[in-house]
Amino acid sequence: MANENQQLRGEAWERFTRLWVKAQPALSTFIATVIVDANDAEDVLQNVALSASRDFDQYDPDRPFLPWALTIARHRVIDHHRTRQRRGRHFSATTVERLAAVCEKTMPGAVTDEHDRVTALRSCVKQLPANHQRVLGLRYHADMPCAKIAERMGTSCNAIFLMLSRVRTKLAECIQHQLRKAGDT
Amino acid sequence: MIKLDANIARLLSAYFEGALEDDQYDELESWINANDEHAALLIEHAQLGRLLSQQYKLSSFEDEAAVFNAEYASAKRRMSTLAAGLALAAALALSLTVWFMTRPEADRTTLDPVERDTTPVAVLMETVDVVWASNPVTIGDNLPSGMLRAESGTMHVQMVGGASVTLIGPFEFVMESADAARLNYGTLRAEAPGEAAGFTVHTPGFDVIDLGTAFAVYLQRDGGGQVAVTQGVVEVRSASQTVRLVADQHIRFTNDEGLSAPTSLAEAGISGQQLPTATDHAKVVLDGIRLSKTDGPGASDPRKLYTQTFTADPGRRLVGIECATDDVQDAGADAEFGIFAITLTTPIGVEQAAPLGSRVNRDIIADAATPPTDGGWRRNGEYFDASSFPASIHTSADSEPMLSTNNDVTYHLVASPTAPATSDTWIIKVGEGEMLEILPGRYARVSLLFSAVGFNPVGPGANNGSIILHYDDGTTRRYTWDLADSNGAGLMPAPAAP
Repeated sequence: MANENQQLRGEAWERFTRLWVKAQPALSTFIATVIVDANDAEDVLQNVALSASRDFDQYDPDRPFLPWALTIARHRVIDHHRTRQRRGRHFSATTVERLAAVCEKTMPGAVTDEHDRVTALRSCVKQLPANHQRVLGLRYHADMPCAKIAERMGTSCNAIFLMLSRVRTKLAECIQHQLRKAGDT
Repeated sequence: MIKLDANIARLLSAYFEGALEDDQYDELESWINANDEHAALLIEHAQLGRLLSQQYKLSSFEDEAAVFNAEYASAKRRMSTLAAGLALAAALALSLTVWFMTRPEADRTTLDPVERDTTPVAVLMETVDVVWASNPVTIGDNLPSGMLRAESGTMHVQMVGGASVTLIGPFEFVMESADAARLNYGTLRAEAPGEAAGFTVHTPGFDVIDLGTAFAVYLQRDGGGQVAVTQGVVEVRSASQTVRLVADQHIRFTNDEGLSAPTSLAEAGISGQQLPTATDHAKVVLDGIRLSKTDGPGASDPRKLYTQTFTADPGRRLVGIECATDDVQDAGADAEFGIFAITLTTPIGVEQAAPLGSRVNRDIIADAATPPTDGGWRRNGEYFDASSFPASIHTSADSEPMLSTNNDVTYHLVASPTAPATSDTWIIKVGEGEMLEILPGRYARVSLLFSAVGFNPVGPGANNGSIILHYDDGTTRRYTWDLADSNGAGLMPAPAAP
């Protein structure tokens, strides 16, 4: 383990860590967009970190870090899709590239942005009606598959899918509103 | 914001649930590629899903009681399949805890956030300076199964099964039942007397099963760790091995190599009842540090290294250590202290090496294989590994010099992650009236490995120098070193400063 750590040392390591920490929310989101299995997504994120640290000497410090790291992430995602082909459909390489490009344009890059977003998210969740909070709890807290949630809530899976998207859309609007409000003050 | 039609809304969710049919995939993909706003919307939903999962797993949305939720009790952390990523992960772990959050594989048949098991499995006995990362709990609380996470501080819980558990932050600790718990990272000390035998601590890489004993576990966020047994017997189990440890034995676990062979605590550099803070860093062994002055008065004197342990006041925050020569009678111009290492002992008995501060004048008082040429200094970012420094052996009542007469000693130099290790060696000179800054904290004991050069006391009772502990409230406590032969015996604590 010591040997691995020695590959990137001293100032370079510090610089890498700083850049990585800033870029990580965007990278995590990109990966979560194209790899829906959370465990797989975490594994790929770790691989991206490893590749990025190994190739860090190739990174041009005069250019932004996120696009560079996203290129690595894109490759790792495509590798991952290739090896997991038998486990079902995934997006084409073209779509993955497009999503990476959009990510680069739209994603806030800093941890502080993510922090504000989480704060807003928490307050927005509390404003949701009870049944919306419940569906979030069952999905994201209890990790239940759609069929189970539908059974608990006495409805169909399709209705749950629709509801989850609606709730997320509502949350996205609420978060944007809150962030804008915070930005104004 | 663009309006989602019901069909696309359903497809989005079905995609994230892994429930899309092939033709639906085609439909979603062409929608995404139709314009960047669509792609951005998918990304936004993915981000929300990620943050919601993360926040729900951190129980941020739960009320206080809900932290102790049956779901966490049944959470099984999936072993990472990526050993290769772990080396890097270890170093990034501090800032990237999200990688190492438990990955609960929820029991899909029984979980319901509404139906919680609130049966107490432990009682919170004591907390010291705990900064909670999970919802806070208070002393005396009955704790149902669930997770406690702290950024810092110490906590003592009494498990209903009889084991007494102390945790030192940062830690993530999941109480699973009256006699089982999971440590995801942090330092844990457990005492499980006879009736509590069987108390089990799970970690991502290994389990520790108590067979009526006292032991400690130090676990890094990457899953690597150490177990030290101070009494009785424990069984340590990894995926491929089971090892029995008896009192005074120690074992290491790394993700790459699994369990090491057991060693004695002494061989592991662990003194007495204490477990040192492990370092993640590479170690460089320095052979043959010869302690002698290179020039000036006393250059020919071989110097000795001493260790001394001082009682600190854990009620106050220690910020620095001063080695003073202001009260030395007839101190030669060359009178100086050199501090090699500091070990700080927390109120509950865990030793940690203190990286020495950088804002002190430094001067060389020792030979090195290649003496520094720029005035003498200790390389920034490196410090001697105090875990191989058996501080508790040498107290003021028993302070043998550390070195034999040939003055050769082998010590470990620990490289900080931000500075390259080299094979040079240095000793810090602490100048007159200067304070050696340490990482502030509450400590019960301060142990120093030091040398003293050029002290010339006259007559009984003459001071040989002082070591002064500085606290953040501006108070100090002075210990005077009062012995003619500079052998370190007789270091007298002065009355505590008001």
